[in-house]
Amino acid sequence: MAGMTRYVAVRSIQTFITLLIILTLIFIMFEALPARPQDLLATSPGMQPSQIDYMMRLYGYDEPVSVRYLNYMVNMLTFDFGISFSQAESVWDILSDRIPRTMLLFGGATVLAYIVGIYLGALIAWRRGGILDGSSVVISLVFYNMPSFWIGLIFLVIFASELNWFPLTGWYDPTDNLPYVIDVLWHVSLPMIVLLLLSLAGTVLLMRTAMLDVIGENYMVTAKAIGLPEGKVLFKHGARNAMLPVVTSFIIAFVFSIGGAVVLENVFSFPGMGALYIDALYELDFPVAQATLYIITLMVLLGNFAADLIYGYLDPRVRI
Amino acid sequence: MRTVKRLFVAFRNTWKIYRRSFTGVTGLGIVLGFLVIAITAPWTAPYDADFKAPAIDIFIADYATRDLPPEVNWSLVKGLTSGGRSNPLEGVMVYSIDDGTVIDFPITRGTGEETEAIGIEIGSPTTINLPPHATYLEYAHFYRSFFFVLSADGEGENATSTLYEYDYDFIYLREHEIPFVPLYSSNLWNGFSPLYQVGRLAIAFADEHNVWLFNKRPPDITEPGIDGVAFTNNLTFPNATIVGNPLVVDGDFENGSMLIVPTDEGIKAFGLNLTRSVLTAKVIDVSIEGLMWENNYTIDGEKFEPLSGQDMMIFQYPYQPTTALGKESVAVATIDGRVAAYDRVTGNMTWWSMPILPGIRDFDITSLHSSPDNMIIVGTTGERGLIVGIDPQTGRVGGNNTLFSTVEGYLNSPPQYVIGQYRYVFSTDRGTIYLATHELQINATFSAPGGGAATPVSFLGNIYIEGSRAGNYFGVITEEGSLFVETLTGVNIAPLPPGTYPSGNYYPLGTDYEGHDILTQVMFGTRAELLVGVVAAFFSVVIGTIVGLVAGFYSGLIGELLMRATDVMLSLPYLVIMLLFAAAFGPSLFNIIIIFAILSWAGIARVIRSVTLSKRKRAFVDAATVAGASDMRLIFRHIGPNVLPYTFLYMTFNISGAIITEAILAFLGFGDPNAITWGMMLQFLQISGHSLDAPWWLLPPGIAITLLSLSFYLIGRAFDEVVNPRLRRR
Repeated sequence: MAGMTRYVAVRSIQTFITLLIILTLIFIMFEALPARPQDLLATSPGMQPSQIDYMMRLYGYDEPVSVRYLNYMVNMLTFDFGISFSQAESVWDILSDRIPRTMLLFGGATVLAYIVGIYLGALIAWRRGGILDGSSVVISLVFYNMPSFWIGLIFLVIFASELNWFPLTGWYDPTDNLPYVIDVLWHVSLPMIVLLLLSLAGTVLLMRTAMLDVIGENYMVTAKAIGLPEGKVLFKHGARNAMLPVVTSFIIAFVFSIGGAVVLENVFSFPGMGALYIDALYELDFPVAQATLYIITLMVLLGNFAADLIYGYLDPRVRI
Repeated sequence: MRTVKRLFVAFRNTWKIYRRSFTGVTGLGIVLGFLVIAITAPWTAPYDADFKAPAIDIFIADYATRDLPPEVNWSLVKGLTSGGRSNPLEGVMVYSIDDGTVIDFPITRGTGEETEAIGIEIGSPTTINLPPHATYLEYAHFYRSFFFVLSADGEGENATSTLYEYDYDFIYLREHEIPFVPLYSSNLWNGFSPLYQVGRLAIAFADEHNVWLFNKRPPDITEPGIDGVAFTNNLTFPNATIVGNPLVVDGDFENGSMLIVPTDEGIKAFGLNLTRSVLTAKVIDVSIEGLMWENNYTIDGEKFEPLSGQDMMIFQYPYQPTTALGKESVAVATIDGRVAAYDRVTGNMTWWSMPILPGIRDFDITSLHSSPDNMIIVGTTGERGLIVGIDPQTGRVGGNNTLFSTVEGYLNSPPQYVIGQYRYVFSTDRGTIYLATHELQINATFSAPGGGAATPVSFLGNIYIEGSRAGNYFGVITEEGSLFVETLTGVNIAPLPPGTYPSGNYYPLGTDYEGHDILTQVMFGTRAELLVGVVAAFFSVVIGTIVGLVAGFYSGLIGELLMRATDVMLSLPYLVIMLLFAAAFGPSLFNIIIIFAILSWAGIARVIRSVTLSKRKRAFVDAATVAGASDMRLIFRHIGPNVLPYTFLYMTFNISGAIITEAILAFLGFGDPNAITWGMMLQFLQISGHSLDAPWWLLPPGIAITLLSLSFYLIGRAFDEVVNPRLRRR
């Protein structure tokens, strides 16, 4: 484990600096938004000038930019997100409901995509050149290049609107008379299937490439030569070894699929972080938009960090 | 010459390897196909880019047309309704501003000319002559109906004008002299007092310094032969300048009748003193009192200036159609896009608001209108017209319902409330007529036959069967100069599925909600997609290549810094940041290109850097160094050409990325509303609420996006095999 400690330390510092830079970038972009928060605060009926002043002070908008920037950085790093403009509720309270939902939807879909994708990718690499291979690759490529919201809409039309197998929108509907967990799963399944298909495309292609590398190896030839059953050669000897690079890309795939949450949650009216982010941007609810963006960024950065550590652990050359 | 030959050879060799890839050739073929479509769209598309299906196709309705004398320049259509509670439609008149000719068509309920159902029957017209050049022509009810025609007399300083009164049968009654030529005219107050069981009319005209107030008491059944008594008052502002239409408010017909005048010194509100006869309680005199409001028209000391020529409006809440119970306010819009509401009695500001419209950044307010359930703002955003409904009590754009719409072209008529329909009808300068729901969602579009409407739309009135409304009609004069009358209560069937329709038009892929032909839109959309894809990808790879070259060449501090920046870019949550940029930059194709270029260069920079690192150690670089080549020459002349294949490779991948990105941004409401793109087609599908029932509209843009993006991706993969030989045997 030589150099591991140093490697971890360097990567931690790099990640932290990256976080600071991204936070600064986010701050600048919010400053550049066309509307000012004070305009929004003052639109309430019967708001007196003194109340507006109070709100401005409460949100710190009476300070110069430099002080606001410092406050913003400190608040973000200490997870003190303040109060939403539009809902008079603490941003944390709004977010804490939504983070687990997004994690469930996108985590679930990514895990399923990996389980199915590894199996499918190994299989089509094994039957390389066949119809299965050709059609899987083409289908994967098509899904890979399809706008996610569009395929989401098509699934809504077919399975929710026409066939009525799944609910159209949302997360939980008490009028369904189903146990909470079942109802939630029922609501989650359609977006999850769409997500699964979308992330499956990448996983299948990745696994296929990795498997093709492995198939040519001598031990595979040996395994076949000593007469092991095909399934055993494929999965025990082939897929197991080919899985490594695919599995290590899991975390990155997961965090990036969360970045895509904005689009799919919007289509399915799924009350997760992505939908919250879009709503907050529309309503110019700065604290909520900033906090959501920060959480997503943090997840991406920590995911990358974790992936780096796993690489570093598995492949000593990376540590240099 | 040698360079050309070398390029040709290189191209031929590349093609030799490339053509082995079946998918690559297919991709190239599809892209070329789209390119041909993009270039030839104006000639090959079935319709023009801004084509809309005519009303006859998308709307099943009763309508009628009448040719008008062609030598006259017809400028106005008005419905003639009789007095009383239901105001049934009894006639339609057209007026020519040039010579004052009026043609009056009587209308009766009957069987529709074009449909078998209940419709209107137009009788034989009569021609009357009114004074020409009327700048104001309105129509009001008491027990009878009246017209007021205003026409300027004389010129220069001493110019005056005249208010003519006509009765319902266009019989001249009398005229009043206005001592100036009006620039502004107020609302026509035509109210009914439940307390005294009488109505009153009031109207004010103004130029820059004068206001002339006209008040009229209705005829009384106890006074046969008298058709109402009029009172006029003058008001002069020697120092202030009047900047907008005055407003007449009749309060509860006893106290608090007001005249409100927007001036450059603020909004002035004057009380009207009505003197009533002790015996009969009839109004026998009207006088203008002193200022009623404190000088309260600022926000935080910032002067709140009414927009020049801007309408003010009065609204009541809760709305009471005949009584004036409840609270009343006066609203006014200002220069910087805000709307303020002032309590009618005290003049204190009750709220002010800057409407927040999802997906719309910049808009200008052109006028305010009142309706029974909303305050309506008419404005413009970019090259589109905008109507917004705001809650009169709070000034907010209504809660869960999206109370606004944008349309092509600018509104040239106020949104007119359709009695009994809970909807609005208005028209645009493109000659299209729109019906909007009370949530201001576009419900139907109409276009008059023969090139659309030449005049703003006019809501005419209703016809009745046994007391209930059987049809609501609007009228316009068409581009061809004929009168066109159509009901609003037909059935809107857009978006249309593919097929041939009554106009004879064939829509191979159907139409969208506004009647745009889907195939035409997809074909024209190809242009924007290719433009955005290629230009955005080009800029992103140019940035990426330069960063990669420099970082690879200077592997010291500069290289390290550039690579750290690349890492930061790579670890951004791409789409989420992209949306923030899009919100900050504003919606336009150019901005989408810029944003994509800024955010998508990092991947290629990394690849180019590693290629540069390996090329730098090659002998030809050493040779050039020894020959005394400068760093710049080494980077761009010697190493640069060697990394170009990679640049090109990543450009194809980035084109597919940019196309998808544009679609996503557009779909989420950050797209360019003035451009035809596939993403915008899908966004309009989503916001019009037809995403679940119009597959002919949902499928084509998505298939086109997938095909084009996939084709560029396939080109990239095939080209990858040319650039990276080890991939070839896969």
